[in-house]
Amino acid sequence: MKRVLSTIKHQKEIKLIKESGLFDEHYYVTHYPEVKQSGLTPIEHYVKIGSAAGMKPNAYFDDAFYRDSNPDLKGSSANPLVHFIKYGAREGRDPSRSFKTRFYLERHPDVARTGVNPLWHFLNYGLSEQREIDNARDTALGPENQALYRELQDIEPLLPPFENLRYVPLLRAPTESLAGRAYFKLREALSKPFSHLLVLRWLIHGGASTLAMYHARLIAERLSPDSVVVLLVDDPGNSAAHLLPHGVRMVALDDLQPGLTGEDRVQVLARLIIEAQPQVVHNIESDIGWRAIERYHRQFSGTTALIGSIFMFCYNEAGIKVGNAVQYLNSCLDHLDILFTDNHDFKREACKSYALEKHNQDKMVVVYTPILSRFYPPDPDGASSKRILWSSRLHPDKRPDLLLAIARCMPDFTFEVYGGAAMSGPELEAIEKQANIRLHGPYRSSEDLPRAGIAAYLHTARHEGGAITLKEALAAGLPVIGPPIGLISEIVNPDTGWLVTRVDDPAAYAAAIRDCLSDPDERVRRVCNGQELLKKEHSWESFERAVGNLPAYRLPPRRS
Amino acid sequence: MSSSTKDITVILVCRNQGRFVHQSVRSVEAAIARAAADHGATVEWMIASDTPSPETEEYLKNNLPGGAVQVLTGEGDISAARNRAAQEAQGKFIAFVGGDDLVAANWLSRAYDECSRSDGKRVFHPASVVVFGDRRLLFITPDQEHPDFSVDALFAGNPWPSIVFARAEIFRAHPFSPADRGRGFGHQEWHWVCETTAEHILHKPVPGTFSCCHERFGHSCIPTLAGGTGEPGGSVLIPPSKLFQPLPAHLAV
Repeated sequence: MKRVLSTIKHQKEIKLIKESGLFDEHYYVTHYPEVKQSGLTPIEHYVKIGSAAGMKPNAYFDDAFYRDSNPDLKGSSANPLVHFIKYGAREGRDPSRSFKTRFYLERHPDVARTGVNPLWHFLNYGLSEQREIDNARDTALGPENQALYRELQDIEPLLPPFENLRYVPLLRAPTESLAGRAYFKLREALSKPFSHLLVLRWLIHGGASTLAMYHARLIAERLSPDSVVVLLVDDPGNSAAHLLPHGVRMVALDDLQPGLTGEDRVQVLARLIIEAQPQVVHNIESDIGWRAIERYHRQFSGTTALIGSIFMFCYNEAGIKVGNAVQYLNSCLDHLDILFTDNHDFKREACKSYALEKHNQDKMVVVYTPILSRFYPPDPDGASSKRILWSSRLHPDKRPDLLLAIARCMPDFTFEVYGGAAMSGPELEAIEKQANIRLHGPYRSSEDLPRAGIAAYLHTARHEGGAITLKEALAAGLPVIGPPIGLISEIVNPDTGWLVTRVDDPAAYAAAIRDCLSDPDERVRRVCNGQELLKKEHSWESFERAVGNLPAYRLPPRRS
Repeated sequence: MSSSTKDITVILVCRNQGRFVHQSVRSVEAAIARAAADHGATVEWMIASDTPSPETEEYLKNNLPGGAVQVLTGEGDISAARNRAAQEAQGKFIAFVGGDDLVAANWLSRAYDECSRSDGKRVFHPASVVVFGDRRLLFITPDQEHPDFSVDALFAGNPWPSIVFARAEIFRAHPFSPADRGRGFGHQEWHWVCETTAEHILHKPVPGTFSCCHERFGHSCIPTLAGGTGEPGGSVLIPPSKLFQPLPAHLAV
């Protein structure tokens, strides 16, 4: 019975608070990130747990202050904000040390005339209108100071008239900082020293994350797992975190502190590098990381080697180059010790596009992402199958429109599509409606993808770097069909697969698929050749040799 | 280090303002007279400058206030002049004033009174600052002991003006860091606030006091006001600080 009554009371309070407009959800979740894990909505959390724990529903309402400064509430179970809404505001009680209710109404009679809750007015209008909430100006401009100011005006006539000080903007320094809070949490999470900092946008299934994991593994093997920290700075998302080597620390800024701006993230990262002085900072396709390097490379230099990874020029739908390569390669390369990439195509294009000098060309090191998945022999029966594998995020960059067009050209084939949807709207609906496309959703690793009964792997993309999914398909024993972009042109040739040079033509892809299946022996031969190439040039050993021996990566020699 | 033969040493820090420092000098003279009148305080008066410009040298040559001591360094770094002056100061307390600042006549008197009554772990600033020149505004300085003040605010900027009053030993134990402009490090006053805060020294306003700061030639009186990081989008950072360094392993959670 008691519980039922309590629930009813909470529901009433929640309704009242919601209607009052005094609960600032953004403030609450950014200041109390633990709410996310509570299973409660922010307002429920505040009513049931937060208020009693001294958590504030907005920046200007302080539950603890309200209880302490109103002795008539002592011993009462009333929620302070509910009391303020129902009675306190009308009675002129202050919601916090910083907001003076009576002062606000007296100083701003237009607000008093409306009869609205003064705190609600301030949060919704007064704050942006820079309305004053206490008598700080009056205190600063008291009679004694007025006399002293007049004396100073004799010394410095440029001082504005004292009367004008009643109207100049009143400013206060912030008394808190979300970026600062994030930094201190990060400092606590990384109290143990580390030598290598891998800076990532996020850690979801994809090429950049895969490569980051291999770098983490190499550092962990050559030094120790403790030596490397993986920091996710741009976006939430760590669905591939389980693939990190055991013992490697991973921290996501969004988990530490919600609500950070891009500039906050740059400042937090820069301060971490300056204070922790890791031997190596390796930025792998993080926009925030590039911004920090671009602006603060001077402060990082001397103690820390700066390494970057960029894999390709990206193109938008209009065919214009976009992305990190355009934004940062040219401006940051001078400050880097190494810029890793994973295909010669990109390096050639970058050198040409930016007229890179010899020493900067030499900084661009091509290292192939190793293929650590198991190699399977090609399935000869696959040639008689009518199932084509396509695996990637469903994102415009991966040309799902082309996939759809190919599927329409080949109604006798089924396209097994693996990967999460990173698009929506009519484009996705069209794919979902296409009868011979079967969507299987996200997958955790290449081992989850089908091999048996698959005729071929089809790769489509607007731009490409290391083509990891294609390499994994080849390792799984599937013949590969794709356009000559990024690394694909280094792997796929008439001896190892089917290269489609008319990159936008669905008929050309359809022809390649049919050609692949027309000769089962040739299909097997090309897969075997492709696998040999991968084993030779895309092995862990070749990756380890290429990265581990670079002096700037500051790793000890391989342990015998 | 000097022994304390005076109550207060005022150090006016000149950043090549030339004759434009004259108004600061006059305001300090008035404050010195007031401190002597209110408390009978004996005041030493220093003007510190590093690698002064010819204009500043000329001003000081012709206008050095009576009894004032010049402290000149040649290291291309105003911190050097500040620290040398603090070392040589004979006052039990030191008051730093910037060359763009005007102090109210009661500043030294009130700060001396407040600081004398406090323990050695507090430093004092004016309670408000009238900024004039490029901008006009009234800035209210925070109190580090106020329940709403969080030390993470120091990540975003320095909320106090350069005018500061404290026991001399604090400045000697915590000198201003050298500027390393070649590596993009600056904001030594902000850095000093961080370093002292890390040592549990509290920054507090002196009630009823104010100063004025002349913003001109692009100089910002209060770094916080220029943006979240001292300079919006700027590339100057404060050097590494104890405040931001990881806790020693034995103290780590």
